[in-house]
Amino acid sequence: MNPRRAAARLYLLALYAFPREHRARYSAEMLDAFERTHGTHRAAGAWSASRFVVAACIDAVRAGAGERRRRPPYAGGRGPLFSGSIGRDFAHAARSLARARAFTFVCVTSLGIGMGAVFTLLAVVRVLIGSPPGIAPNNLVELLVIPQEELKARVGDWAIDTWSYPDFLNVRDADTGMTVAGWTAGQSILRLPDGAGVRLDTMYASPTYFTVAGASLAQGRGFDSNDSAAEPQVIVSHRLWRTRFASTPDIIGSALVVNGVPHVVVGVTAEGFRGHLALHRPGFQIWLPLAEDPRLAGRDSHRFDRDADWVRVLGRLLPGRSLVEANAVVSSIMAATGRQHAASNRLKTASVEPYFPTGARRRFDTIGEATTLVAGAGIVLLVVCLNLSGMVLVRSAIRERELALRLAIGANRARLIQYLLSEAVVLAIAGGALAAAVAFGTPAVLSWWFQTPVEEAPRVDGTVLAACAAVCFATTFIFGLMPAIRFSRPAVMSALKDEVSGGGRRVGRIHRVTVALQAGIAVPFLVMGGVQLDQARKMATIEPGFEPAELFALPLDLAAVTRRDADPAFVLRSIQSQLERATGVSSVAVANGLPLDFEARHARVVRDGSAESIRAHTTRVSPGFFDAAGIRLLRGRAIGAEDRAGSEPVAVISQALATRLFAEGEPLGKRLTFALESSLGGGDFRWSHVSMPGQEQTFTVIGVTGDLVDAYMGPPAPQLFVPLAQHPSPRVFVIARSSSTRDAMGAAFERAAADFYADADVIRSGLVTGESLLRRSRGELVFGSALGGVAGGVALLLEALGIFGVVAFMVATRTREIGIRIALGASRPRVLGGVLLDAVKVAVPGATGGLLLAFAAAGEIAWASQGAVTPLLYSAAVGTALAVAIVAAFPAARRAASVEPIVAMRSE
Amino acid sequence: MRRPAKDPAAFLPLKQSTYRVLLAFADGEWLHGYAIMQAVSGMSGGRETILPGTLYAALARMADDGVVESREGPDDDPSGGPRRRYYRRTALGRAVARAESERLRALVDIAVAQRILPGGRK
Repeated sequence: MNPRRAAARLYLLALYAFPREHRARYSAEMLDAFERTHGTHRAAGAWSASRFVVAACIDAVRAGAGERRRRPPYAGGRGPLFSGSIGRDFAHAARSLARARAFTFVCVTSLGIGMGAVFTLLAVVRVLIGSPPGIAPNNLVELLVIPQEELKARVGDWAIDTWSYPDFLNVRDADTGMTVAGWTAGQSILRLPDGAGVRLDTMYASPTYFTVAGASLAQGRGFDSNDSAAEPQVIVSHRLWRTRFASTPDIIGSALVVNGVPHVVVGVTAEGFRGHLALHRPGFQIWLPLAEDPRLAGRDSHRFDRDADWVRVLGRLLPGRSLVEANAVVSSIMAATGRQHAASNRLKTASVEPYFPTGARRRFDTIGEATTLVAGAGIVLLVVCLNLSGMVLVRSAIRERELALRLAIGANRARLIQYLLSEAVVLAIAGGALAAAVAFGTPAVLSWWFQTPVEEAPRVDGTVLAACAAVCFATTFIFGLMPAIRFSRPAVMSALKDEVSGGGRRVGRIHRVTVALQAGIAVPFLVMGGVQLDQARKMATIEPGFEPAELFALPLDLAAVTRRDADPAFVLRSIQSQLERATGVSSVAVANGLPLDFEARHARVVRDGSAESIRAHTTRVSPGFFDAAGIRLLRGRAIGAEDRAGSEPVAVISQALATRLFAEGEPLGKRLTFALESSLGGGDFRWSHVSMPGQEQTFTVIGVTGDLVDAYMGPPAPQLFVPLAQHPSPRVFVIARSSSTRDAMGAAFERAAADFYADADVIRSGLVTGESLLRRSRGELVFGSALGGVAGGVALLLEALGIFGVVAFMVATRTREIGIRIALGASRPRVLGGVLLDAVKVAVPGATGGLLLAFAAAGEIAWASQGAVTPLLYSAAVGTALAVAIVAAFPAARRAASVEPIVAMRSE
Repeated sequence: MRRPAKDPAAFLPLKQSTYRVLLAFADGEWLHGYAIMQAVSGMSGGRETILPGTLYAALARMADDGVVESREGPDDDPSGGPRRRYYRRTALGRAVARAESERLRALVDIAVAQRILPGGRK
């Protein structure tokens, strides 16, 4: 709903505080005055508007209550919705809740859990689909390439968000009714005033980028519109200026050394601006002209290459021009290019799509994800509400006598409902406050604890606050209304003559089903938690498949080499040979990845003559890699110097892949077909959502290595190694095995790379050790198990609350029956056992369902937790769910067993 | 419904909102609700505002008391929006505002005498 209409509706709702007569006479005018004033506040910003809406609603409720007090209740009409007694009811509710401490604690905590989940997810969704600060999303568009036929099959997606540079120029220079800007993301190295170097997320962008995004610069005039400015230019983010340059006022015009080349600062972005992508945190730190991108400025320029797609394109519609027009023009340009350059462009058409914060290509996926998140949170909240409704039922059942008394001395039904609802409101407000404090306060507490600002903090703004308030409101009604209606009509006579209630009400089916469902949901989570626990136990002794000790590696960006005359092969050779001479170094190699590096470089491998494909993790490696990394070669030979560019394509596979491809057969000499991701097309894969697979090639298997685990420490993952010389990569690791210390190796790497990189400190800080890789993977696993454990714990807690509510209600309403049983000779342990059995009866169907669910999802659980699901785990999970049910039912069962027959039956 | 009282002193002390609304009218001027809100805000340079709930509760009370009177606006309101009701301060309203002002002035005089307020301004 649009915020204006939502506000108007909220206000109309608040007007119900006024007597009906007043509403009939004034509400149209009041709404008109409200909307006009709201309009002026909206012009001042969303925050001001939200504050006004809240203030106006509170004002209306207060003034309305005053009007109701001033005018006597209308004869013959319905009672007032909120009579003047509402304040008294709230005060009374707060007092009686404060006395029932255990009840209040349980309710507020579980409401806090449910609402906390909703609040957090609402804030996350806001980040996901809300525009990042500082841009003007209206009339902002994104230009996408739509692949056709084979290309579509190869890419496997409806759109590609990268363009080739010549195609981009065609669109940029045509009259499309848009201002068009191209951009790419990368990293660059900035020398700070104190001489140290830092690696920063960098956007290479057209001079028009800021105009197109609708972002203003806080300082400076921005890039010269002429692509070939006299001296290199740079724009820095406000954050970088503040944190690294102490907000020096004279930054504009000063020189910064970026990638070893002095650049003049021509702009500082507006505060908070971090680029136009929603999920990119903490955001770009510096902006360089697109022409400086290594793919244009480097040796293998893509300036004229229509096969290399790497530029992403944003546009802003000019005033009076429409999306449809722009779309038509861009499509026709692309069609013409397709006829002219059939080889590269035949399978590409283009489309102009409205801007979306996570990228236009991801619009539907993102909205789907957001909906799933909100729906998930809603279900949790609903379950919590039903549980609470059960608890409130118990409380009302116990207080039935009091309610009957109120009814007897003249309270009407509406009055009783109001009284019962006011407790629900107080609980909802307390739960909401707890949830808000946790959801929005945690980042602040974390940042205080770790003494670092948390950039990922969810944004709390008017919309999120209003949504949260609505959640509180809805919650109140869901869990408060049902018991309130049910107990607003107590049987006066029987309730009053009796010390104990004995209405013989039955626990509603809906409550039993909810509780059973919760027991069911808990089971798969418990299985998952169990698998992860098991995994964590195994992890201590797991064989990673490489030798982490004495392993050192340095990431190198060959595009960022500051000596422009050096070609990448020469750079690598000379760094390698320098390192080999360092003391303690036994072997040196180069690869485009490391074991356990969390990078997803996958290829689908097909055995010659088979249709089945297997996903394998690929690494491009130089000769000597297996020695340097400490990976065992089981059979055949390693990749050697003879595997040069142009020679027969070869591959080494891991034992796990060999077993899956060839079962017991001999893999050596067999042929495999797969496509490595293209190093030209996609560029930096972290930035291109579609990783473009290159052309398929056939490889001969020359060796088999021992098994390697992947970064998530699961069972050995299929691994594939190909010669780096045959498949070059712009980003590589230089790997060395050495008995020296980390510092000594840092210095050795620094010396080796000093010739080619201006900023030696960056090198030292980028150094990775085998142990650090292992530590990081273990950390991830522990974190994953902790998350699984928390989810399982929350599910169990909810189940316990649900069972507690249902069983306590059963006991509270069956006191007389229990009393009779005891009088007839039932032993107390037997009563206790009977009640506990009831609890188990409620939980068993759920747990059985959960078990079936866990069986069905065994594959997913095993995949998500990277471990094997054993029968023991299933039984443990079901056992835990039932045990929790019994524990939760115990307090009520004990109360049942201690019923005094004489008290229970006094009324008979 | 309260009987319209004819003695202005019987209304004192006035509620803040009532007093402010009474002061918002010029003599004989008809204003609609939103215009009253703007006038109240304008009197204090935007420091003090009145929200629609309070305003209409006050107007209903004042109309009952005969302090303001109302009439239906024209069908084609020049400012757009729904058909509005217009309000005017009655003679009794003026007398009540005067009585409240005098009451407040007496209080201000005491404050001046006690040097809580700087004196000399009357």
